[in-house]
Amino acid sequence: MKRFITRSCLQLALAAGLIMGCEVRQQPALPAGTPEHGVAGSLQQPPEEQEPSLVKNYYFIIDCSGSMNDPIARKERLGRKIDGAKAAVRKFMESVPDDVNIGLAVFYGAYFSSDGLKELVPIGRCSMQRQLFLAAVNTLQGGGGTPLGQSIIFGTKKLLEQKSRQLDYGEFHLVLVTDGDATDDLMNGVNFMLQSPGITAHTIGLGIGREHELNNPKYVSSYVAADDFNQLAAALEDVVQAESEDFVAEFK
Amino acid sequence: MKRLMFAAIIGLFTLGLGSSLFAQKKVEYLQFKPMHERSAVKAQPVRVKPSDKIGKPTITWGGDVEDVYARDYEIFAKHGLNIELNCENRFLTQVEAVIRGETPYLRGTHGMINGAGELLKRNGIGMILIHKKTYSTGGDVLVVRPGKTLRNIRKVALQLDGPHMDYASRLFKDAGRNLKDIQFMYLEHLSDDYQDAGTVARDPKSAFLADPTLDACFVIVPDALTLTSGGEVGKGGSDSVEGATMLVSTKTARTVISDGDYVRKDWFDASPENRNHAFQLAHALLQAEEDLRDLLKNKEQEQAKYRQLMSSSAALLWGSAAAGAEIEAMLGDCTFDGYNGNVTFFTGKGTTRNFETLTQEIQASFIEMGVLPGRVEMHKADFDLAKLAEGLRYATDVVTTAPRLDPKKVAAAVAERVEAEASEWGSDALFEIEINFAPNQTEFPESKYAGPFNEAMKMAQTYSGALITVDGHSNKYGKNSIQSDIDEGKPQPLISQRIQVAKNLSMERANKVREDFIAYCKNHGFVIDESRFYAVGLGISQQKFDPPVSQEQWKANFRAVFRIMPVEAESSEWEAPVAAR
Repeated sequence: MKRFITRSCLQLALAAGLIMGCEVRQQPALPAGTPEHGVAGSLQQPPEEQEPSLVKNYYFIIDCSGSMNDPIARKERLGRKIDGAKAAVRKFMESVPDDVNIGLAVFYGAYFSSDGLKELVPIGRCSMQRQLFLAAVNTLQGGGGTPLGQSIIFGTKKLLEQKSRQLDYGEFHLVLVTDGDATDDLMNGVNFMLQSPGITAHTIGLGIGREHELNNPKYVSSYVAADDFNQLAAALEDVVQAESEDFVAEFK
Repeated sequence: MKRLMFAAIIGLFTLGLGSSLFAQKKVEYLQFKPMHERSAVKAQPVRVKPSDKIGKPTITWGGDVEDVYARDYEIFAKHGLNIELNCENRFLTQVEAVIRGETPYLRGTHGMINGAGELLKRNGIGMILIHKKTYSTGGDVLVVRPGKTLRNIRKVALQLDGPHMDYASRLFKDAGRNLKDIQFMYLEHLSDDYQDAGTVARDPKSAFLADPTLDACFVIVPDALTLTSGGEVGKGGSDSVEGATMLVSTKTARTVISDGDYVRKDWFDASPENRNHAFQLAHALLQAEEDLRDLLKNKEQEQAKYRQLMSSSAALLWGSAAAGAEIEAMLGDCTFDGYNGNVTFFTGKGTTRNFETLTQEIQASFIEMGVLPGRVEMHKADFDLAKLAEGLRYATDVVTTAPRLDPKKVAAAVAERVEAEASEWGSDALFEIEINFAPNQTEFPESKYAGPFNEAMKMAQTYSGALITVDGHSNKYGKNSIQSDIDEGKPQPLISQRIQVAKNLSMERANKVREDFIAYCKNHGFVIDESRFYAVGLGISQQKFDPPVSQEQWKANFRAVFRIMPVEAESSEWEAPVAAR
């Protein structure tokens, strides 16, 4: 396990009960079935009060399943997928401004809850929890199953809660960092996300094939390979135009 | 409001309807004739001198507690005035007493005084406003049957010569109606406190219960509550009208029904002593208002004094000292102007709702309604305002307004309604003012938008209790638009993202229009309560033309709308904490 974290970050992460390994296992276990009530949640819970806000939100779901310990196919030089995922997220975070919201959840059987889902960083202002976020990312390691469908539902629900707090304004991006090997019903999660207005999904893929659902514009707004650093930020910053500036003569 | 005005019955129409107890009641509508055709009174000089005991009329209204205070606590006496108060709710009687010279003073709403303008004019008499007393801020209500709005009411009941005539005309005019398209059904009484009320309907509430052809009626709050089963939706039966609701009250239209004290101009101009009498009366009433304000604030500590004043006021204004509770309720239906309100009304400082504006509005409507044959001159006193402020504690030159609504409470309530049915949002707006712009436009400069901004400001000041939403919209049509993406079967994530971005854009626009509008008001010295303006982004949920079939229609979809929303039900729920006001 690599620990490229500063002492202060380490202390912060320890306090939040984020670090895998013996440190983490010293933390009291949460009740089964309540993955969203993470220890970190007590630090950065967003205010429950509703008010209109145009703030952008990026909620990361990082795959920490067993397959993420494998090397990225044909790209062994990049090391294990989990290391590629962490590097990709760190790279992305370099271009994330302070005035957006970020949140982080992982799926991995050892992460506290029975369904393998765990929120490590609740949605909150990036300026307040960037270090916490990066510290949490740095500690991740692979192992266990891949409830990808469930994780999409989990992340979508988190963003919907935040959307309600922002009175439906703002942007709500679900960022999936995964190799795509689901052990549950992936489309169940995808369909749930598609039926949630205003939630858009982006995939940072680790060896995901062209035919995969999470690499299909029918289901996700953007796909970028984890090692394509140039495209990482660009994909998430992709701006769609709200309105047409041109009249067309014939309307239906 | 219980300004009991009795009009002479010029013509009598009876209407026998239905089979229930109320439906069997005959409705006696009055055939309309303007006041100057109903009175044969002839002008005489005012017979009283300033040193005499001078009769001053009051009406059954919370504002007149000020007069009772001035009398009971000798403020009149300290101002060298020998005033005898009397309560006269039959307005024509008051007017005739002034014309006959029994007293120089006249008391009523600005609308009622203007309504008497032609009769006074024909007698060579002008009237001068010397003291603006209150605005009705809750006591007067328009009750409607299901589906009736200001835009489609065709037949409405109201009291002749009463306080609702200019109120009605203002509401309908602001809704863009031609008053000639509306059938005003006049009644003698304001409420059903006449002797044979059990068998005959001579007031708007009773008429509304008995006459199903009426779309609406203007009534005082207690009657509105009865008709609507407690302010909700009328359940029907003997004492309410099925489906009836309160469409708008003076809780929303807070600067429409204005009242005050007037003096006969020839008497005022005749001598410095007469003029000084009127000045002292105005000053005494302002001082009484400040003392009354303090008493109401400290009524728990000054229970005995407060109870005594309520009782004394009830004896004069209600005819029974036991009616203190009714006086308390009436006090809650009005807002005193005090010195600062008088200054703004007389000078127009910080407001468009001044003497000239109200006079012009009322007379224009009354000419249209046939109440006046033409313009009549109305006057306001040219008192030295600095001298008028002497001895007053709350007099200030700074015109301000405290936030009345809590933005967070408003935000939550509006979001809930928009989420429930975005396409229906705003359908209950009283009035709308629309502005258009170009695609992706984000600035709304005064140079281009002064017209609609000015119109919105006037509405905001007239309906100063209303919530005013600034609704932003995005256009979903055009080349490479959201609609074309949908038509071409583009991926759902892309369309979903564009719809959300369009919603955000509409909110940014709404916010910018709101900001630029508030800046416009400030730049022009008009005082507005910013808490009453709330930006809403509706995205593509309400296309004006859906779909547009011409370029003009397509352009019209780029719009923001000021919506004046009534707050009859929510006003207390949305109020800012008292400390913030």
